[in-house]
Amino acid sequence: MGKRSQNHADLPLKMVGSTSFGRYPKISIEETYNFIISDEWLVPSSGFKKVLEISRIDQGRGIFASDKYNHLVVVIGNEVFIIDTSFFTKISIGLIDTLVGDVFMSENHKSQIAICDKKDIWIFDYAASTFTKANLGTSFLPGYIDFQNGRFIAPNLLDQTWRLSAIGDGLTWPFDSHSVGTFQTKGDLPQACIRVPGGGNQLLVIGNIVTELWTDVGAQLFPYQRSSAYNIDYGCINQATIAASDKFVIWLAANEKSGPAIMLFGQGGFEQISNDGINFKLASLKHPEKSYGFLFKQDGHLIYQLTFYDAEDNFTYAFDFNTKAFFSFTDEKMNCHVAKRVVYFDNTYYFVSLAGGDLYELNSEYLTYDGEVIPRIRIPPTLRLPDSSPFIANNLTFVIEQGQPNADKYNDVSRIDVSCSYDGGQSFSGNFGVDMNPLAQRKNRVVVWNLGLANELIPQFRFWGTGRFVVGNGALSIYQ
Amino acid sequence: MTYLARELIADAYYLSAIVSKSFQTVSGEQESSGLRLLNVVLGNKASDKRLIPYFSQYTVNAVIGQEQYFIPHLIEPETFTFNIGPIRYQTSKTARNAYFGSARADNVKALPLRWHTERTLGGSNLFVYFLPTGVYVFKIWGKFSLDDVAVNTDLSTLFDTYYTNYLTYELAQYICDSYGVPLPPNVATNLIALRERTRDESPIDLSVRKNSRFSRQFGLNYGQINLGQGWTPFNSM
Repeated sequence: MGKRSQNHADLPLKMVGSTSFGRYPKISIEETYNFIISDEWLVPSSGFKKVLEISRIDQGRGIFASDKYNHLVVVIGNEVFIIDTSFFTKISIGLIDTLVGDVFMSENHKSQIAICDKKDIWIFDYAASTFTKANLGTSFLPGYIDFQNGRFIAPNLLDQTWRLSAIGDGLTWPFDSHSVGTFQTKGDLPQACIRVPGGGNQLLVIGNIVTELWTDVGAQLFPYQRSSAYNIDYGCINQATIAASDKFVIWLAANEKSGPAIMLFGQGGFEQISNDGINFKLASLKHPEKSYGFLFKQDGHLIYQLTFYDAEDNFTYAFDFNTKAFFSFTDEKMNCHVAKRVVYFDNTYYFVSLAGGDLYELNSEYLTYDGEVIPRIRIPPTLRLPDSSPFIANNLTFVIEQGQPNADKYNDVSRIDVSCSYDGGQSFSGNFGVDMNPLAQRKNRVVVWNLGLANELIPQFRFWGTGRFVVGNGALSIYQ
Repeated sequence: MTYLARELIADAYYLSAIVSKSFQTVSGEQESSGLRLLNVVLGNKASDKRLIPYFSQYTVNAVIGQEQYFIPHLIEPETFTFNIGPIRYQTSKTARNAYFGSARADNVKALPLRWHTERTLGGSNLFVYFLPTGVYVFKIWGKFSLDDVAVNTDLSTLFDTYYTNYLTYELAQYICDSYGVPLPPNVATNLIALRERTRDESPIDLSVRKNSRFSRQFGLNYGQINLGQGWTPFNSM
């Protein structure tokens, strides 16, 4: 332990934090990869494990969990499968006409599961064991499909109408005043019709630049009535980013005056949840339309995961509703996270992947990505004194638990790679490896000595290992 | 093993805690600044002679009739002898007051039996008396100031490890001073200890040489000068 000079001080090292970088690096490059916050500690985000190999050629397009039917429905390429999760067996039930693109699914109160590939609506009737394409005519190109009060509901991507199926029959989509709603607030095309979770008969009809709130009032002529005193002046960039759960509907929004932002509609109304830094990042997107979003819960934390998968963008952000914080999720190679669509079924989350045609289980018990080490990184906010005067960083320290519970005790050597930026986050030094103690020693304090002279210092910590990392806050010891 | 001045400078920056060994490298600007400071450290030893680790010999040929000789880098003469062939002749070191302030015949050429040095820019001036009557080989033992080094100078050819280690700590102190930050306390403690050890590494010779006031030898007089010309014994006190 080195001696301390009289003018020694400790700066708080905020190891527990989220992805809350600023607009420019000088403001902050604070970022957290593949961790979330729980009780003021950093804890691992969920890993995953492949549970069923479906296709080595095609990509997963959509997944749906039917509690009534007690099966998963998965679309891989142009093939539709039902999967029994008890034995992880797959049965092909039919082919659709498209090979790529987003697929949306919903089920009605009968035995029909509707599958919409933004070209057709296919109805799988598991009671009759039939797989049939609905006759939509030539003037109806369906989008995001949902179910409410006995009817399937889908927007018509060709014009400003949205359509209702016949009650209990997804194969029939009448073209009459009882079944055709019209987008009215702006000259816009509807992209999705979403039942408001916890909202009773409320329905959000989301366009490109505006969103209308409708309510199923059971009127004779047309069952839905538009809220004349309320609308949301944002539409959505991509239907595939829309997710609904608990009491929320959330999506990647924009309008004719504003760039992309993450918007939330809940019981408190409508609000933007993305911060300055995230909005700046979203504004610089090259292909915001190439995106996916979904909601899932990790150990009680409701998380909205939004992925921009184009190679020019290639990142994933996760918003934790519990802590109101963003985190960055990646795959094992620091590309965007591979989960495309997630469903909760039989007490487990399953997803189809951007990276292939297999089925994966998402679970916080898994601490690897199907055996691959998860890159977990924490970049705390910039450390500087109020007057930005230079200081010598004598050491930094924080508390950690590592190696548990399922790390390979023979082969897994947990390590933290530390690097530092002395130029306001523009560049980082090479890595300095801190090997973790063997699990049995249970020593839990990371100390890095002699970090040099700086007037602003940003350490970066990369946690390597197949076990659990639990990280607490720390301090930077300085003197002048 | 080769130990370049560049490596010493880098080690000093790491010791000073201004540059992190784990995360940073010494920049070119820091290196050139460190080299300048290292040469200042080395140069300052000319005024802190006890921290110069080695005594050295310097030889120069006498010039007939010349009293003053410039000895570059000489800062602490300890002995002065001259040779005539294989025979080494002893001389007497004379204090400034006695050398410059006493009566003498300035034009006598004989064996140079008394000497005195005065520090001057870049070294010392050696004064000898009598004026040499031949081309004798003067040999001066003493401490000489340390030469400047370049970044690629191999310090292992100039200094022992203990001394380069001491120089590293000393340079770290200078670097901290130039940045306006304190030397890390543990480094400062080590620096004090290293200074103490290095200071006593090559002490001056304090052995006592007795001069009797009741010697049977005669003192220096014109007879000695004109007849003996230094070849006959006399009391040089």
